[in-house]
Amino acid sequence: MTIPVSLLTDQELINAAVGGETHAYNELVVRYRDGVVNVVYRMCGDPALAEEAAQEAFIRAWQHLSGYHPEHPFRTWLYRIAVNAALDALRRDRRLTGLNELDEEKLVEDTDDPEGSLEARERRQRVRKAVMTLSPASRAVLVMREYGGLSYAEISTSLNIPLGTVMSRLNSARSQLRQALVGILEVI
Amino acid sequence: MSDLIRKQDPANPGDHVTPWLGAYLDGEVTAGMREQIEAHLLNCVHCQTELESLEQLSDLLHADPPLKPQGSDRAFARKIVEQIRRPARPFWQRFLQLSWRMAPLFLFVGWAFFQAVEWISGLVLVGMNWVPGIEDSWQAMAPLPNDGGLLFSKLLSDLLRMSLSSLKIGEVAESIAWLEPVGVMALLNLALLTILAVLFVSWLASLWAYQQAKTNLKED
Repeated sequence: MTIPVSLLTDQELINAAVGGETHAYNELVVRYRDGVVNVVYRMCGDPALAEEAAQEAFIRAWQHLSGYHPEHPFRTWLYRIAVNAALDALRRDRRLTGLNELDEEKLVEDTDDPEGSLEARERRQRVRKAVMTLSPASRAVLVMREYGGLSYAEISTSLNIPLGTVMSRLNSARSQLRQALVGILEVI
Repeated sequence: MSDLIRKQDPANPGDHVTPWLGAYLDGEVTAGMREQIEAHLLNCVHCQTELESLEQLSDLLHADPPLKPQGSDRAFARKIVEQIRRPARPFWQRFLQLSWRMAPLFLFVGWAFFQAVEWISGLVLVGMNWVPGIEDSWQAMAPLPNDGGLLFSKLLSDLLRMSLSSLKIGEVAESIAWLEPVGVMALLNLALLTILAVLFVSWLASLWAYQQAKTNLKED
C-alpha cells in the first residue's frame, strides 16, 4: 500500500525528490510555499516580483537538492535560496526598468487589507519602505528573524555567517528602522 | 552569547544592556544572561525605554500581514514541477548565448593578438639583423631597413602590391608606393580598429535591442 505523500516527513520527501520523484517535490513546494513567498516578498517589496522569485527559488532548490544536509532544518537551507532569488529578481527588475531608487508605486500597493483604515495602511507602507532601505545583508537577517521565524543559530547556518554577525546585523537593522519610523513609534 | 561583546558587562550596574536587548526580546540569551538583564532593567530607565521601543518596533513589523499568494498551493506546485520537467536547452543554444555575451572579450583578444604578432615579428626581424650572413641574403631581395618594424611594413606593402597587381588593379597597386613603408602598417591598424569598433557598436546595439524587447515583454 502506498503511503500518501502528505503523510511523509520532510526528509522522506527530500530523499524521494533527490531520487527524481517530482510528486514528492510537489508536496514539499505545497508545504513551504507560504513561508518562501513571504520571505521573498519582504526582501523585494513587490508582490509580483515575489511570485516570480518564489518560483525561481523552488526551481533552484530542486536543482541543488542533493546539496542539502539533513542535520539542519530544510527551511533554513530553503530560505537562503529564497533570499538570493529575491535579491536576484530585484537586481534584474531594477536593471530592466532603469530603477536606481525604490519604486514607490509598487511599495504602496496594499493587497492585504484594502478596506483598512487609511492611517493603518499608511503605517504599513512606511514600514515596508523602511525595511527596503536596509542593506541586503541586514534585511536578510531581519526578514528571516521577524517574518521567517528562524532562530539566531538557524539564521547563522542559513546565511553562513557567525552568530555574532547575526546579532550585530539585527541590532543595526532595528536601530535604522527605529530612526526611519520616528513618527510612528511612540518611543524611540 | 555573553562572550560576544566584551566591552560591557550586564552584571555591572553602571553599564547599560542595550546591545543584548534585541536578543533578550527574541529569547536568544542564556538563563544567566536573562537574569542579569532583568535585574538591570529593574533599575535602569534608559534600558527600559530601549526595550519598550524594540517591542513597539516588533509589533509594527508584525502588524503588516503576510502576503496572500495568488492561486492555490497545488496549482503553484504543479507549475514548478512542469518547469522542472522541461528539458534543458540544447548545448549549442547555450554555447551560442555564452559566445554572444563574450563577444567584446573575443574582439579584444583578436586585437591584442594582432598587436602581439606585429610586435613580435618586428623584434624577430630586428634580431635577425644581428645574425651573421643574413644581411647579405636579405639585401639580395630588397634594400634592408635597420628597423625590423619598417622591414615588416615593407614586406607587407610588397605583398599587398603583388596581390593588387594580380587582381588587375595596377593603378591602385602603384599608388601603394606612397604609403611605404610605415603607412601600410598604420593603414592596417586603422582598418583593424575600424572593424573592431563597428563590431563592438553592433554588439552594443543588439544588447540594447534585447533589453528593450525584454522590457516590452515585461510590461505586457
